[in-house]
Amino acid sequence: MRGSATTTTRTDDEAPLLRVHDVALRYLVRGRIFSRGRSDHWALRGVSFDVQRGETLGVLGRNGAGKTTLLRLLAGILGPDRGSIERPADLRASLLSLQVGFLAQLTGRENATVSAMLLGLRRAQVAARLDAIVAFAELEDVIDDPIFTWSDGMRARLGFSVAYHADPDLLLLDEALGTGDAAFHTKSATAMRERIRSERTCVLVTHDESAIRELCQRCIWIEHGRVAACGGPDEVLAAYAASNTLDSTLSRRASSRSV
Amino acid sequence: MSITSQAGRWWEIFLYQTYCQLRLESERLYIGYLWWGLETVLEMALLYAIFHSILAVPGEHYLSFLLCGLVCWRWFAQSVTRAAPSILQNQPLATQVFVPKLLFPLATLSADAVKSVVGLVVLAAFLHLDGLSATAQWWAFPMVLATQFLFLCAAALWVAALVPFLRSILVGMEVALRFGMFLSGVFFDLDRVGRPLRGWLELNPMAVILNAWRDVLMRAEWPNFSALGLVALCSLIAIAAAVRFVQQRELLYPRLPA
Repeated sequence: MRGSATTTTRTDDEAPLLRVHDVALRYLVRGRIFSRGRSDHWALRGVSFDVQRGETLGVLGRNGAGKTTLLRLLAGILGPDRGSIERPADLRASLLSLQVGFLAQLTGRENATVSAMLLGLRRAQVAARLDAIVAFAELEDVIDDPIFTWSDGMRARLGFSVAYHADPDLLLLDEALGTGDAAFHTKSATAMRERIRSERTCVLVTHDESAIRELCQRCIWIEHGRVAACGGPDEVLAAYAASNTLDSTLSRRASSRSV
Repeated sequence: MSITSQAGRWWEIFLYQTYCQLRLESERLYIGYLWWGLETVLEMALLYAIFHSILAVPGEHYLSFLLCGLVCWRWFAQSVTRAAPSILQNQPLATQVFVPKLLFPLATLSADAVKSVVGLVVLAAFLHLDGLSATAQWWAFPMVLATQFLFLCAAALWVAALVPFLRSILVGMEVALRFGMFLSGVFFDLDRVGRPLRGWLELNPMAVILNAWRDVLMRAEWPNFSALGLVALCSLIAIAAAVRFVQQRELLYPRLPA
């Protein structure tokens, strides 16, 4: 069910842009109607934190810790089963997803239009930015061809360019700082880093410690669906590294015992 | 973003998705848009071969009678069949961005409504060739079409809303549509069915709608307005209930297994 996510219409500039309070979310595991074996998987179990205006918040954690689910909650794609997320009603939050809604039979121009509209732009805004989108992706010569004739790299370039130009108020990034071949990866990653360093509010999920140190003012570490640590990047990274070291030591001891 | 602005955005996406679906279909099929009309022409030729040349079925305008039934039924059946899995098929997209889930079946239904216009033009041409020219009663035809659109929306939205929770509905739907085709009067005249059987058959909204098509286009009679009104009213109530059902579960759909 929808849970108890709330939307506020705050105008106080000093207040956090987002306030996440005791949020829990579960995924439904498929079960047959007449079977008793239906069980749910809790991806988040009571997560609380704030996102301040203009800051970049890093999110750390192992695979399956609940980071992507958290981004989807912040983007308004999912709703919590418990707890609340407070945000301004007019906030345009967008998860940077590449190639959203792309269809192989449509042309690059049509795909860019539908993708940008899905990422939050109005039709007129898309029309105004389309030339810039195509130019950034360096696809002027093929933009009116169906994208099934393109390489994966070309599609990735258009997907990134659309997502980059959608330019939401709250940018939610899941590892995708850059994409494409070496040259375009450098270009896209540089552009994205500049966007993150600007006044834009950003939540960045990454395993890249150097990116966290370079780009984030604060950081949270999610472990088993809970906030294990929250604070400055150095402090949280140190706690995360210590936990990983401890885990590998315990795992080595366990395997040597079993041998 | 205000509610009006948000609604405007979804409206633009709906229109563009409808356009994309029509474009996709015309790209997929070798002769594109022409196929939509050609399908009806081929069906007509087949019916002519079977009922006129082989079976030598007597009765004036029997081919027009059959074609009316088939064009009407095909619009309903194809729309429901294509819209039914639309929310489920767009599950991956629904995990990337927030999109009102009803937008998927509605875009499919709109694209099918546009396509059905081509079939209607071919039907009108055939009726003219068969000596059934337009009468004053044809003015009631848009109302009959509007009632049918409301009914197929109600059926399609409910099926599309429930399929992600229970996929077996897709199998059940195929069987139901096959039965429905025979029980709606595509191949027989409802007016010739005696009571009490006719009363039971008229509980099927498609039988009422299909009979209204023939009343207007072939018999130069006004349709049964009260029966059509009842179908339209019940459809509107069912659509409102489906909208509410989906809106309450907007954020649940992306969590269901794809």
